[in-house]
Amino acid sequence: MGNWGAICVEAALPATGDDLFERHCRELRPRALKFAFGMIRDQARAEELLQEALLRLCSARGRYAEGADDVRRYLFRILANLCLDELRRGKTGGEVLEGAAPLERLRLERAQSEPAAELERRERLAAVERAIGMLPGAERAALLLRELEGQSYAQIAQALGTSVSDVTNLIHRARSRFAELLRPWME
Amino acid sequence: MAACKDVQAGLDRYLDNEMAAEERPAVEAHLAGCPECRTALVERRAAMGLLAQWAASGAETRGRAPIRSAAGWLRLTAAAAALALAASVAWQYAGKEPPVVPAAVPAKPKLVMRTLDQGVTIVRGEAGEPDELIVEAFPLTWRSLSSGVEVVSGKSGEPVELVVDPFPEEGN
Repeated sequence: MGNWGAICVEAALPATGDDLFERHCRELRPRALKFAFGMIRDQARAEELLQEALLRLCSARGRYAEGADDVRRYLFRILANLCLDELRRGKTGGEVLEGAAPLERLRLERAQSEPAAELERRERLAAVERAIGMLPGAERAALLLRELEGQSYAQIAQALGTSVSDVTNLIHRARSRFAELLRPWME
Repeated sequence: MAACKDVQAGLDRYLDNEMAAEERPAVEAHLAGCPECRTALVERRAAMGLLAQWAASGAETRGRAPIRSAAGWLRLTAAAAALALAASVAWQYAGKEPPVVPAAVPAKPKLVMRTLDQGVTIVRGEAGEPDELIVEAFPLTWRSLSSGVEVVSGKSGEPVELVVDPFPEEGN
């Protein structure tokens, strides 16, 4: 264990004596944090929500199978709903702009020592992050569960408490909007 | 042949392998003869490629300060210790008593830090815990970069400690 993520998991999870379960959680944590950050775009709050999700996951043990995939799906289900609740409360999450124009290739102020390629990479990632923030919450959750976690539409539907048909529509709208916003960044 | 509207509405199911096997040939036949729909497919793939790049990036782009891991500090400590040892040996060869070399990283309380949008803050700390960050030995001000931190002000007395090469946060 050599990072905050692992320490955080340890802090969040009471000693269960179950190395396998705790290992699953540790392995999932970086991806889960990325998902939460993508959802609400506030790093400190994302960490708090992940802590909450891990605690709920731990307290719900016995209500789900404990294979790696089961733990993963259950954690992301809890986390997605915590993030959506957060967005509904309007505390975080960035802007949702109807009819937003594609994100221009704005130049960030360049540090003297920064190589052009690194600057380009940072600008690209910043644009992706802004594009994620422009998606409505449910679309954002569906797209991130699909792209970050590779979940099937049925799994996403279960996580979000909706139908496969709804997920199909959410992902279609999210990808269409996302691609439009990022068109200037496509090579 | 399927209409463009129908094909584009199903492109995501096609890309995600959520489309029934018997539907796919019709979509593929349409794509083969329709540049507009092929462009829509390519753009979707490119956009998802950008999202994958973001997902794979260790550092956030909104001011998140990566945390130096204990391993990172240990590497610096080892480097400083090696320098101190070399200085001591050189001094002995010069026929003098070696100077008292302070420990590169004194046994200060080890603290856990967390990231914020605008920097880092200390969350908890307790001496003697493994795998945590030593910060009190380094009274430095940091500025976050995309792949590391940069010392803005402060001095610990050991120049080697000020080397700030990119060190992505482990496991993220």
